[in-house]
Amino acid sequence: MTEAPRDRMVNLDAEISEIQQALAGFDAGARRNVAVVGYPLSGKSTLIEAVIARYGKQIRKVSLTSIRDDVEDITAAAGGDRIIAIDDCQYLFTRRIGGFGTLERFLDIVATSDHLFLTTWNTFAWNYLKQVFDLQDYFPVRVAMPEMGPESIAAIIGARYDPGNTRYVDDADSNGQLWKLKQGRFRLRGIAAAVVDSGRDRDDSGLQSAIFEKIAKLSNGNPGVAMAIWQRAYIDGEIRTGLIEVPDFETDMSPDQAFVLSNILMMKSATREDLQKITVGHLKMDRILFTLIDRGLIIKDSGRFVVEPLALYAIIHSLKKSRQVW
Amino acid sequence: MQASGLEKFVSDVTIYNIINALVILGIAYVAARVVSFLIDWTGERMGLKRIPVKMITPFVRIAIYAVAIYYILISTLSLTPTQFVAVAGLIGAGIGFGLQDVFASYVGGLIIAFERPYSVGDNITLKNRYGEVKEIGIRATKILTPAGNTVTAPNSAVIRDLVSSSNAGDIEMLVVIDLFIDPSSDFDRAMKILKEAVITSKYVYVTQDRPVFVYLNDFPFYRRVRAKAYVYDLRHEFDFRSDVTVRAWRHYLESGINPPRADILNMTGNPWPPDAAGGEGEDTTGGEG
Repeated sequence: MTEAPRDRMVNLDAEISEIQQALAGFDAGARRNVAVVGYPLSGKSTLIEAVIARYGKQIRKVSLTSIRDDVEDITAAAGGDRIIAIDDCQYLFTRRIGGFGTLERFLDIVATSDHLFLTTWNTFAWNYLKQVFDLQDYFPVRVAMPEMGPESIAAIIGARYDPGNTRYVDDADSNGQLWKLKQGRFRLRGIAAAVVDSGRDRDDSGLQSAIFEKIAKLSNGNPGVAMAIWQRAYIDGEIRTGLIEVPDFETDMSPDQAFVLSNILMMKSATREDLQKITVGHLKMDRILFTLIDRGLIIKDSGRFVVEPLALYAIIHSLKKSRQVW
Repeated sequence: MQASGLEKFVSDVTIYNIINALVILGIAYVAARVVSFLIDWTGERMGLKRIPVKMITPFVRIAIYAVAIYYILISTLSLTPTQFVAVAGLIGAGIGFGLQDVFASYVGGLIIAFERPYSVGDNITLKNRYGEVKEIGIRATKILTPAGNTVTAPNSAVIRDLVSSSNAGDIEMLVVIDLFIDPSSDFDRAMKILKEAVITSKYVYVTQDRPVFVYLNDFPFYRRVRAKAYVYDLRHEFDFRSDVTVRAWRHYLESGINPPRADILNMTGNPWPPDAAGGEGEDTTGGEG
């Protein structure tokens, strides 16, 4: 089997092992479909890639990127591959009358097919469908994406940003100086900053650890959110501790705003037309989307609305509190 | 010889003491209002956890008035505990004979506080009035009806009448939604559409303990498709009904599912169905499935 170095770094061994057992069981004649369930940006696709890389035989992988009206082509395209991996299965339904037809056909296929299905689901779509469609019956093996620790977060960020060329700056004190500057004009901000070049002395590793611990804590161990926190604090090759934070978000919402936001959260991304179909044109969609963007809760990316990573947990907290997601 | 409780009570009743007692009662009244307001204010900021917070209001009000009365009798009139009991008994008997209904309401207030047949924030039907309990006072309960009227029902009603609570202290509430269709319509499709209208509503709350059910009942000239589901916050009960009904009917008509033919019953122009004229005041939680 092939080794995948990155997944070893992010320590998904337990989850990979669980899926590998299902694959081995399938080779031995027991078909137990797998559902990988996780929050947005939690690394579900990475996990599936790692499993595919390690598995010696061919797996047909399909990544869904928008709402699907048909599923028959997915199994048809599998050809001779006995295992089908489908990423982002929440695109198989929309929360509207008549929006479950594709999912129902898919579940019929899952129940009757000879293929093994390795699927990923957004947690909130999964929880919703579990209550209204008994989804768990079709996927006996369920793997929850774990919260990642500081080491895994550091490895993921390090894969994109070279740690050797990053300067770690502990400017937590300089924030205090900024306050003093405002109050009494004592010193300029940044003069007291302790600048430590990466890899040069022993203090650096301590500072790096502290930084990644803070990022892991602020991101709730979510690699996508952690990356967003890092990018926010990364300026010209420097990471400043004073900039590692998650801003506050205004999350008091009307039921209409919460409903639209919950659908974006559940689907990972949605177009305006998707949302119009869900709400049957009853809502003032443009105004709602404008408000959500204005509050920094969502962003528009290539015509699709997605949750702002830094706001992810504020949104989840708010929508759970108002019972818009479970 | 020590004067009896009643003699001492009468001898101690002076203009000064009466004014003193009225001032204490006034302070207690203001304190009860302020504390109730603060609990209510805090509860509203707790969102879906508001009902447990508001549950303590009746206890606090009773405690404040109890302390005030105790203070008047013990401190202002300087009664010993024996005299206090004697006077309290006589006052109680006098109130019992002269103001039975008022006294029953006060007793009802205590029963509501301790037995909790309903709490502030619940949706209840009391004396044929349906609405959200806004305040449980010492003497009366105030209900806000869906039409926006505040109904004040004496607490004695809880002793004498049937009281039904739609949510029993929970924030979510079971809602029954009935749609009536022509017997020749595709009822399988009608049930599926209604179920999807419910589970896709922005007001629905579905868990293993709070499932969604859809039933079909056959009647001589129509069929009734009934959904039972929970609204996530009882304050959205009518929004939930309206949302589900509007979307379901839109799809019914698109799918060729029609309302019953009123002309068969010679009912053209009359409200349909004939037995569903209860509107917002009806008890919406029961009924057969």
